[in-house]
Amino acid sequence: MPGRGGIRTGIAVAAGGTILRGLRLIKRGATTLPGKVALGLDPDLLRSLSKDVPVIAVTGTNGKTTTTRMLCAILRGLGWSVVTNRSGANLSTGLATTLLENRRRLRRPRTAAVLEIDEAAFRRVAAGLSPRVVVVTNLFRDQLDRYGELATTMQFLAEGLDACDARLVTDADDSLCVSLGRGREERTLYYGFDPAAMLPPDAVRGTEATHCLFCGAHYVYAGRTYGHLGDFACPGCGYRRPASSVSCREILEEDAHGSRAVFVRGDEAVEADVPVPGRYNLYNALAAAAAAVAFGESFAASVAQLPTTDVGFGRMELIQAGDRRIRLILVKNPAGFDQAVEFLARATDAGAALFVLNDGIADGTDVSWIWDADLERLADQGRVPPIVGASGQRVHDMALRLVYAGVPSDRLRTSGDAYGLMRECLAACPPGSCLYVLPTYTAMLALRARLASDYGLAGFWE
Amino acid sequence: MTKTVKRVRIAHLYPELLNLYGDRGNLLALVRRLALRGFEAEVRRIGVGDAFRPDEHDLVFLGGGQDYEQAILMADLLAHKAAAIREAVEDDRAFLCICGGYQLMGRYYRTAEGRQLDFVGALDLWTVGGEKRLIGNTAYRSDLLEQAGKDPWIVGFENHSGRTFLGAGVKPLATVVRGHGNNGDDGTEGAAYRNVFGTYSHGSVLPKNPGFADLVLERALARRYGEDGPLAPLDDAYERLAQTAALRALSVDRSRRNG
Repeated sequence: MPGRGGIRTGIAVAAGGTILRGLRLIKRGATTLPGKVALGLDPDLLRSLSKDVPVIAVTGTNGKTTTTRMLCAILRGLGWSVVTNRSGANLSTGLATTLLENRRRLRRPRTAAVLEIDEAAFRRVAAGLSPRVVVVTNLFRDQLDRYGELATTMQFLAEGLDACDARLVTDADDSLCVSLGRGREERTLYYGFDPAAMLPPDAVRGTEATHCLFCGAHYVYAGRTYGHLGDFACPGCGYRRPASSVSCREILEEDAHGSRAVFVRGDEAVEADVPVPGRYNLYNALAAAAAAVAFGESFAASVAQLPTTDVGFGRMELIQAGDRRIRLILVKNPAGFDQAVEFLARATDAGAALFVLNDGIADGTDVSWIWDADLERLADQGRVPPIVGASGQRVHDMALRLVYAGVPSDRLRTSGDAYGLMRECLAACPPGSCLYVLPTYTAMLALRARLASDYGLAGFWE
Repeated sequence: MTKTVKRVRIAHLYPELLNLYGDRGNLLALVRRLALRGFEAEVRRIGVGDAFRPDEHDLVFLGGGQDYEQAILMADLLAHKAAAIREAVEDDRAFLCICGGYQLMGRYYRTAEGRQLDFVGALDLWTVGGEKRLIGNTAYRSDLLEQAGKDPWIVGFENHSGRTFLGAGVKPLATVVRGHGNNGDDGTEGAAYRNVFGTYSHGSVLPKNPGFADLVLERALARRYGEDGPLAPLDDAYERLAQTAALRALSVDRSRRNG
């Protein structure tokens, strides 16, 4: 029997669908507007649209997009039809747009929705979406101007988890994430690095979450991976890293294209081929594999699908530009910036590097965080590329940061025109070398749109 | 005979807990601007459980922290360091205190619910919890900097829910031209007392405001070595560009007192 809600949903869906088709006709990436209009007409739209489909939600501060893409690749490889918000439109409006757009597919058998969700938006959509699995990738300091404090973000996530009965899949190596599993043990599945595969504790500079959330004592680490992630234990109250069900036991090989590692679950060990480089992407791969397991899929079969991931879209994306390459590495907070700079410091093919700092809402209006990343390591290790560019809306903040980091002024190029400077840096790269571009979010979107038309890449809504 | 390098001992208080967005940049600025003038900077990290002796440091830095991080250090601060901090302040040691660290130097914090937490009490100021966070880019103008022969402008970013009020015993560091400052109400920003400077500016504040950085350093050097002249000027071209761009983004005319 169609009640008021049914009629309201029908009107909302019709309105959203019309706008969606209109925007597609004029070739605009309609990632949020149709959902916004439809949600305005029916606030409970997410519940109606998702009621027939199992949902996996991916949230946390870093790695949401990459984990989502890996999980999509896994499920598709295992025969699922997957609906996802590929473009990173991860607020309620973007989620509604994605579901609207795919509303017919959602009713087909063996279809799943894998949705990346902003950590603050999660609490408002969790009840409606009623996800079967929720992945919380990690919790780093991020956009404090928007969220205030990390404790607030954790509270939002806890509220979202309590509004649904999803399995929680989260990082055993992150003391902040593990606190979300506390009291929810029976529905939590942890992944992480095997402590034996971690770096010695002194090898990593950890400046966040140094003290116990519960009693305030200073954590002791037996091993670390990056940032505050590692084998933590509180000597005061005994709060410590839990055993992980899905783990990375050993890294076999790491190069510019990706990593090979041994992933284990119980006594099952399989080789994982992660087609995107960077240690944090091994965590994203673990998260995706663990989420597939929590969703009911086989561990080995899930890991076997990882190489089919099409990561791209500004996250370690490698673009062939004639006889040179461009590596786009999105940076948005100190922990991610640190990892990107470490990757750059290890690269042997860097002809130039370009740092693009914007200060829009989506980038964070506070640019203070650039000072917390260890850019000094480039000069300390003698790894400053021959040409280093600074650009973006805050070009002069970025330039000053690079001067402080020890980039000599004869290597430094500054310009408010990010695309123009990117072409200049690319031209200065020797053939066969790579231009490393480290942009903030809106800077990445703008640059990638230009690169897409220059080199025929897929648009962000495709 | 070799010339003795003059050393400046910088204490970074609670480096693992008071290190919010950009505090590291302030230390980098202090160390860099000393090194470029031939001084040797030694940064000592003093955390929970470590002794803080008032006579062992020429400059003390306190950054900001999130509430849960500040809660962790309160017992150690009040029981083991507050008296020594007050002594160091009265002994004219230089201090730079940002955001949460600035609040901690005051007399107390009163929460929105009316609960009062005692703080260090080195500065005659207090903070009251507010509902709405005061967030955004800021431009302040400082008579104190101008009187010291420095560029009077301070640009930065504020993000605080506490409202700070100044007693008669301290002076404001600056006047608010853009942003909220101490409390969003009385037009004051930060505080200055003897050689102590407190401000809500993140940014990081010192790299982009070299005049402010030099004033803090001059006070530390004067106390330690009796040098009372200004520090040798540096080529601050990139610094000045960053500051000017920030002022321009806020539509501030640096030639006008009220922007």
